[in-house]
Amino acid sequence: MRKQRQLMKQTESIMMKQLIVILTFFLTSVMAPPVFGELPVERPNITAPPDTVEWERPRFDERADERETLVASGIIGEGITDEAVIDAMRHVPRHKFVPSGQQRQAYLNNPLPIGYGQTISQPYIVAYMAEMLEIEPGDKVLEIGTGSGYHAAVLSELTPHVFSIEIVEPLGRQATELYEELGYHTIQTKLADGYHGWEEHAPFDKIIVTAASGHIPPPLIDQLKPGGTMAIPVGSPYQTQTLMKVTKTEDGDIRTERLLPVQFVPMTGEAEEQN
Amino acid sequence: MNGRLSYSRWSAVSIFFLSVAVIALQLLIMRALAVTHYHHFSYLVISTALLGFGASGTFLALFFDRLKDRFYLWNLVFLTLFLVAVPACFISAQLLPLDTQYVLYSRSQLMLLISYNLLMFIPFFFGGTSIGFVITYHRREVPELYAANLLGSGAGGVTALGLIYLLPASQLPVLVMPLIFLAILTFTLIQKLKGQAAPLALISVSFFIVIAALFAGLPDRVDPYKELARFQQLEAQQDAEQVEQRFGPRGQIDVFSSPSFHYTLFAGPHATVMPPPQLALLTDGDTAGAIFRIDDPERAEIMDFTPQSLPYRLAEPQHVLILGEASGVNVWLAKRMGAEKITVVQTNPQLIRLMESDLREEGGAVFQSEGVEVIREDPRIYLEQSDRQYDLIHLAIGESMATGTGGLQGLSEDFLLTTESIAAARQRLSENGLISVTRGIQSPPRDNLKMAAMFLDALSRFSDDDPASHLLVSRNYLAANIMLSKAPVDEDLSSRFRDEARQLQMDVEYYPGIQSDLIEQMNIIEGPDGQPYSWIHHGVRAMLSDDSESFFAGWAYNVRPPTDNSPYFHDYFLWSSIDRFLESYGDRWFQRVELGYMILVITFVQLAVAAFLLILLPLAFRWRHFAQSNDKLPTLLYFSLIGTGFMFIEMTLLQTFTRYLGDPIISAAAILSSILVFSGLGSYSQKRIPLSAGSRIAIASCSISLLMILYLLIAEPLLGSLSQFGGVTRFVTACLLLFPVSFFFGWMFPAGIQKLEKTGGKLVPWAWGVDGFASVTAAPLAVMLAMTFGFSHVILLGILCYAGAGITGWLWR
Repeated sequence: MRKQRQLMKQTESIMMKQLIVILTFFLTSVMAPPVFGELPVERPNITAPPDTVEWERPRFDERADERETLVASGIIGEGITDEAVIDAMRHVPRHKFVPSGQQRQAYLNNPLPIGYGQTISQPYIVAYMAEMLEIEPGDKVLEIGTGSGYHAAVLSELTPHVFSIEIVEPLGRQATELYEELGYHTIQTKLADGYHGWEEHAPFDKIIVTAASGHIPPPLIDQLKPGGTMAIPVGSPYQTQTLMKVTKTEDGDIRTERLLPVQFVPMTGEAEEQN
Repeated sequence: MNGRLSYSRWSAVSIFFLSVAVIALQLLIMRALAVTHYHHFSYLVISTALLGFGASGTFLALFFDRLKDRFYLWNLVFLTLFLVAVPACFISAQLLPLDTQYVLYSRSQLMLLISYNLLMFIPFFFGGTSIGFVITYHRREVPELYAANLLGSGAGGVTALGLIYLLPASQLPVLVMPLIFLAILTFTLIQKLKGQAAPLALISVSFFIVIAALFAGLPDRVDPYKELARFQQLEAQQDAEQVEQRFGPRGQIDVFSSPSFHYTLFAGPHATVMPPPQLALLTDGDTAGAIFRIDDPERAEIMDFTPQSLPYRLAEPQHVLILGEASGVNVWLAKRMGAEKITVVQTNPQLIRLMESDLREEGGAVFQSEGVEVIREDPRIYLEQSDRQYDLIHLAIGESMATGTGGLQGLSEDFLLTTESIAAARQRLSENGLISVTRGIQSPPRDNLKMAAMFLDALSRFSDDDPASHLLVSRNYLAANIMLSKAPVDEDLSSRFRDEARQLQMDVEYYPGIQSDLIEQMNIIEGPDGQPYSWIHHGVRAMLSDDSESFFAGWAYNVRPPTDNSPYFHDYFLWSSIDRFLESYGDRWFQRVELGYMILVITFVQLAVAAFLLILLPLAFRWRHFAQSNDKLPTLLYFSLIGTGFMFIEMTLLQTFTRYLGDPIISAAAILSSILVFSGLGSYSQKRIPLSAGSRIAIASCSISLLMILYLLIAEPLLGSLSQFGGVTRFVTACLLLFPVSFFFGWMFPAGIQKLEKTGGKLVPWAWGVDGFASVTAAPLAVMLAMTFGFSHVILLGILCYAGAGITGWLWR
């Protein structure tokens, strides 16, 4: 009887330990907010000079001719001259980041809806922002608002150190899976509130903030390097025609500049002369 | 059921309930779509849906002769189809994969939008068909039936107001189904039900349909681009929690708690503190502001870095008036800046109650804190009633979207943002007082320039002061602050203004004596080529020049100062700018166009085209039937003119009377209902007036014309003199003023029908359709004309319409 009780106690103890292990696994792997995107690939040396930085960039033949047409008319034709940016737009398969119902429109120079009130940006605006930011290979770039994932993919053509945050879970997961599938291994993603930036990887050379109504989150100012630049598109994604360029001087001062990718003079010539 | 049915008063009762249902449905759908989509979209959809009313006349003109022998059965069919169509069509429409923002880029989305409109059209078609069918069948009783229609329509407005309090906006349309059921029930009573299996079965089935719809509810689908949808998504992933929800005619209020909501009220990038914990306040699905979850002004330090703090640094005000404050953040600012007495004026009583009771422990207690007084009143009415003096008047209503009055008045006037209002506000300022407003920057400038224009116009029209000496304009990277001073800006104030602006990292855009070539921007925004200053500075200087007219005419947007006669601050559209947009943006020119006015134009054009085709259709298909009648042209003219004239005058009366009654939502419903009820009484009275139809037309048209001319001359000064009296006195006076003209409104339609009855009555259903189409088409036209020319012109056109109808009636043999 006594031996039986001891045996039962031992069994219970073993079962309890097993239960604790199972519960711990459950809590850490399921309940905890996932920080995914830490992919097991060797990352380029972050301190290496820009002209020596090399990294693998995936290439796609599918619909390359449509991309070429878009680049010719909607990128180069609209005034983008940065060769690296043009090349990036040429290589990133926008159709992979677009919902199935929008495949035919994937290479039009328009924003497209991707669900959850988000859009995949107009290609020209993506190129304009990239050119404006003057991204060098080796720059650390933070993107707030992964969305479809297209913009970060373009950025990853310019530098191997791209960090992207998305608050809408389905979008964030979808983008991460897509990066894995397509081979964009240099993009690190996180599901979180982008307002607080990504402190572990700060400071950043460049930051892009989407869907922020032009407002500059103070933590992002802290995480921007002196001399660094931030880009914030202002307005509705279907009507965005203003970009805010934020520069942090070496002294830590903040300078802002509103840019219109499409020049528009709000006065008629006659009225302008008279005034 | 064959053989002519004699008239029963139950028909009028049924018409009454049906009319209540139709008008209530219109208002409830508008409310629902304003929350699930947008006010502009709501307006477009409901205008198209009301085409169903006019189309019912076309249908009856084509098929009445075939239907009349089974009048009882067919009308029950129409009523039942109306009942079923309400939930079926609304659910189907909400389930369409319509992307309202992508419509302008996609043909398939455009087809979905058309489908959406058609689905909303169907219930109104059946509702209008039933009413028109009964009126046509019993056309000799048209005074009583039309009276029932008008009384029911009047009651419908008030009923809708009450129903809106019951459920979230997306669920409202089903609430009219019990009314439709009552219409079915009362209609079946025109015959004895004993032994009538079909009507009894129909009543039973209808009853169960109503119960099922009320319990099942409608899909709750919000446009994914709205803030409400974003918070619902965050809630689904447990990153947000809905704290409160209120429904009412002034807007649906949603309050969310989420750690990812960060509202900084235009604070500059130099802010060294984070915003405090806050609740998100949404009105009609869009962000209206933030409620700081604090109980101490010390924790609202973020406000020190906002452009709104600038006037406090200049004036050090003790007595502050905040107009249109929704969430209390500006009260915290005033407290931080040392104001002793803070008066908050807010129209929406639900918002005030929410803050003071349910959210009291979450920061809402700020409205009841020491030195704070909250007054529930329309801000414009308050400015005219009050005799207090303030050191600072803060127009908080300019800082956020859709606060307070965002309910039934989406695409509408704003009497607080007019030249006359600013002049009245200036009268409330103490000797060195300031009026201040802060508003986001647009590229190119629009709102800010219009605000400055309004301030300058108030000075130049209502004072002898030099406008250039009283204006201060500055901005940070997000928003511009515009101040109007009571006293001229002296060198001391000017110097402090520049210093304080620099401290806040704000660029100075205008102060008296500013030199354009010395401007150096910290926060660079666009300006004239080769110049160091911005378009805002350029615009203000241009408005102060002798040739400001060429600036207003040449600017890309309408930035002329709005007045009480055309109080549309948010109308920026100019036809003349489309060329420039096309030149700069090519096929994406619509990205720069102000959608509000464009939607009005699109609505009017599609209604006019549809109305034209549908009016002509019966004549084309039943030419032999109508060829014998000589009344076609008089019918077309007469009923078009009275439909148009009624809408022109009604909408203008509505706008101008609500200006004096305050509380735009309640006033609108009350005035609209009064006009319709008095018109109903006028219609009913005709049975007892021993005059021919022609004589009644002549008397009514002359009376309406003369009364409206008199109104144009005396109404505004009379109502203005009453602004000191309480709400009840003002409302009773408004009703007394409305009664005579509304009474005669009710004469015109029945008298015209009786004219047609004398010649066989074949054109009666067609007349019903013509009147319906004219009313529906005239609604957007009235708003467009008021925006362009002002209310007085719209009333004059209305007078001309009734005069024309009178002449037509006189010539009609």
